[in-house]
Parts: sequence; structure tokens; C-alpha cells
Amino acid sequence: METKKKYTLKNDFSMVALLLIPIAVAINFVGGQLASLLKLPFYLDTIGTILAGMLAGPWVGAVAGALTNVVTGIANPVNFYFIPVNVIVGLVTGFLSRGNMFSKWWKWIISMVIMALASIISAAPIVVLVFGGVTGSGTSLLTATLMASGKSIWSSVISVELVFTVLDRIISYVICWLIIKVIPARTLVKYSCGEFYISKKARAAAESAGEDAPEDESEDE
Amino acid sequence: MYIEQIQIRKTNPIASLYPITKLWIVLIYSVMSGIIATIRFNGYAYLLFVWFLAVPGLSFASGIPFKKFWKAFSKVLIVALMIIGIQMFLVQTAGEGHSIVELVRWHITDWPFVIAPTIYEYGLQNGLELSMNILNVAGIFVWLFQTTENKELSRALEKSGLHYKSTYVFMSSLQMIEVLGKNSKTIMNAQRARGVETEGNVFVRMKAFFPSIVPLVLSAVTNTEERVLTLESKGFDTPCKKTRIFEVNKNGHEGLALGITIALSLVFVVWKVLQWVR
Repeated sequence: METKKKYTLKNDFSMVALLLIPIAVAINFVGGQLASLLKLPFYLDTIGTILAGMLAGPWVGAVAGALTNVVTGIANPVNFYFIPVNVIVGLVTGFLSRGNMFSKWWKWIISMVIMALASIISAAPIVVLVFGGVTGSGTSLLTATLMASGKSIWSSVISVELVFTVLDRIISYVICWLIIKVIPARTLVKYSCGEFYISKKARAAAESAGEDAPEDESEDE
Repeated sequence: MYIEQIQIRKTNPIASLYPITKLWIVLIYSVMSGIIATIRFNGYAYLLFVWFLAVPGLSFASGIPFKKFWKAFSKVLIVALMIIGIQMFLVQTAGEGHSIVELVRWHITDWPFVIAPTIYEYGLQNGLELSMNILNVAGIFVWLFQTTENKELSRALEKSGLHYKSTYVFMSSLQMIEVLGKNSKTIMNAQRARGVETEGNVFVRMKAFFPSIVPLVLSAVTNTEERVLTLESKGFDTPCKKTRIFEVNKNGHEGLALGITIALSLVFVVWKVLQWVR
């Protein structure tokens, strides 16, 4: 009989998860750098947060997100203001992951919609209220054009953010999905939410290997 | 001698202030910036410029070379100028029913088909407030991070009660950024040598992104297991008292620094209260 898994903060923040956070931060940083190096119109600075959220749950994802913007803010202080956005990405992804919302393709679509809404609701107010619509990124030019054509600040920012943030998150999620597919099962199992992503093949192989080996008490980890 | 090399000896009294004191200064400064923004003369928050003078003042008093300061600060300055520009030319009014005051109506020529740009007063005031706020807060953070080494900041936070694992995660993040940054360049060159196109239109460049980042992340994540073993073998996880090799001390001027900050802030608070009461 399968008992419902209990998530504790201590289990979420195991050593492997703790060490995942610096990697997530570095991925976010490098992702942002690559995006601007290749001159793509996206931020791509939430890939690591999403990875941490999917593997180790909402709180680890949130910490990874917050730390990313703190660290990148050292070099470019504008990023300090967007800490809530990255934190919310981590939280939402983590809770979706706990609910096993990434197993079927239709669940993916629902998750994407939730993620997109959450991102816009958190990002748009900051852009409008703190920056007046202009943050200096590539999308600002588009926002300014819309504003010049007469639309209000809110509708210009939201329409631009809607398109580019959604695309940005879709790309980030696809990258994370690709990465998780290739991570070996023995690594996945160490994370809180990792077991959802172990492929059927690996599960079958483990079970058949388990049938030959003597029965062990499975640890709740 | 060895300890001397680990400890950072700073000679400038302001730069060597205890990091927590500096954090307090940053906090008070930022909050005051928000308050001063509401003191308006004829609609303009001129005092914000005066308050802003503390940023370059502190930076040069701390001995930061101008180039270093400019590198971090110029990024914020560009954003601020963009904000002023867009607000000035595009934002007409706060809402329904407010009158639109046009400040300047330029006529480049008298030809009827040349559009004359107008500057809207509300946009100018709003833009100035927003961008000065950002400049103030970002500027003081630039000062903080240029006078404080990251390990000083983490050590001070630890002394004030932050868990040692959090400090480790913070320091490790900074290190991993360097490591992954180097790896990403290597991987991108390797992929380019294998024929992945990195120049061209947006879709070509997007296709170049995936093969660059997936091997990077994968190698980083699978290496984590070894690093966990290393840390555990060094007693990272054991619940015992830890010794530190790096120390941060107060330099004696903290009281003076905080006192001056609070005194200056009170001046403006009183100003604001007087303005409010009248």
C-alpha cells in the first residue's frame, strides 16, 4: 500500500538539495549571460530556479530564486527589485512538482498556464510601479513603442510581458525537462520530488533488480 | 604572517566599517529616500538630488577608484535616464480628470507636417522621482558591495546568527558562477566546432542555446554527489561547534557613522513632518 509522502523542510533541504542551490544560481546567471550573448529577447534567468523547484520542492526553489537575484544584483542593482518574481517562480514550480503536475502532456499545459499567470502577476506591478514601464532590457523598447501609440502603461507592460515571459518560461521548462530526462535515476532519487521523474524503464529495471536482491527496509528519504 | 594574508587590512576608516553597520546605513538611506521623494517643491522632489550626493560622496570617501564605481553604476544610470526620457515624452497624466500640463512644446520648424515633441510636466516629475529613487537605492548598494568583500559580509551575518550552511550556500553560489561561466564558454566553443551555428536569425541562435546549456547543467548536477561526499567527509553536516579562520571586527567608528546617518535622516524627517503639519 502506498502511503502519501510527507514533505518536511529538513528533507527538502538535504545536503544534495543544499548543493543544488549554488548550481541553480550559477545556471540562472549563465543562462542570462548566454541569452544576452546570443542577443535573444528573453531573460532566461529562471532555468536554475525551475530545476531546483522541480527536483527539491518549493522552498528550495524559492531560496535559489531569491539568491540568484541577490547575487546578480551585486553586479546590476536593478535585479534586486525582481527578487519576488524569481521567488514566485520557484514556489509555483515546487508546488506543481509536489502535485506531480509534470507527468502527462496535458498536465504540462496546465502547469504552463499557471506559471505564466503567476509570473506576469508578480513581474508587471514591479515594472510599472518601480520603473514606470522601462527596465532597460530589450523588451523595454517594445513597451515604449506601445506606450507612445497611446496605450496606458499597464496594458503596454502586460501585453509585452505576456508574450515574452510566456515564451521565456516555456523555453526554460523545456530545457529543465530535457535535463531531468538525462539525469540518472540514482541521482534523481536523492531529491524530495525526484522520484516523479524516474522513467518507467528505469523503474522497471530497478524493480526487477530488487526482486533478485534480498528485501530491504526502504528508508523514508 | 599567514593570518595577515587571510585578513583583509583596510586602511580607509569608512571602508572598514563593520558590515552590519554598513547594512544599517544602506537600509536607513533607502527608507529615507522614499520619504524624501514625497517632499515636493512645486511638484518636483528636488531634495532627492541632494540626498543622492551621499552616494558619490561616500564612495570617494571610502577610496573606491572612479572606474570601478562607474562600471557598476553606469548600468543603473542608463536605466534611470531611459525612465526619465520615456516618462517625460509619453506619460501625460495620472488619471482621469487631471489636467495635462504641457511644459515645452518644441517646434522644430513651422512646417505643418513635422511633429513637435511635447514634454509633459507630470511625466517629468514622475520620471524624476522614479529614477532618482532607483539611483539612490542602487547607488548605495553599489557602495556597499564595493567596500565589502563577500566573505566579510557572510562572516558578519554569521556572527549575527545566520546559519553556517546558508553562508556556505551564498559563498558557493558566487564560486559556481565563475566555474560554470568558464565551462559554458568551453562548451559553446566545442559545440561551435561540431557545427552548431551561433550566428544568424533568432531561430538559429535559439537552436544554439540548447546544446550549449544542457551539457553544462548535466555535468554540474551529477558532480554534486561527489561534492556532497567531500563536504560530509570534512564534517560539514555534523552538529558540532565550528571554528573559523576568517574574522571580521568592528573598527571603532561604527557609533560615529550610525550617529551621523541617523542625525541626517532626522533632519529630513523633521522637514517632512513640518511640511505635513502645515
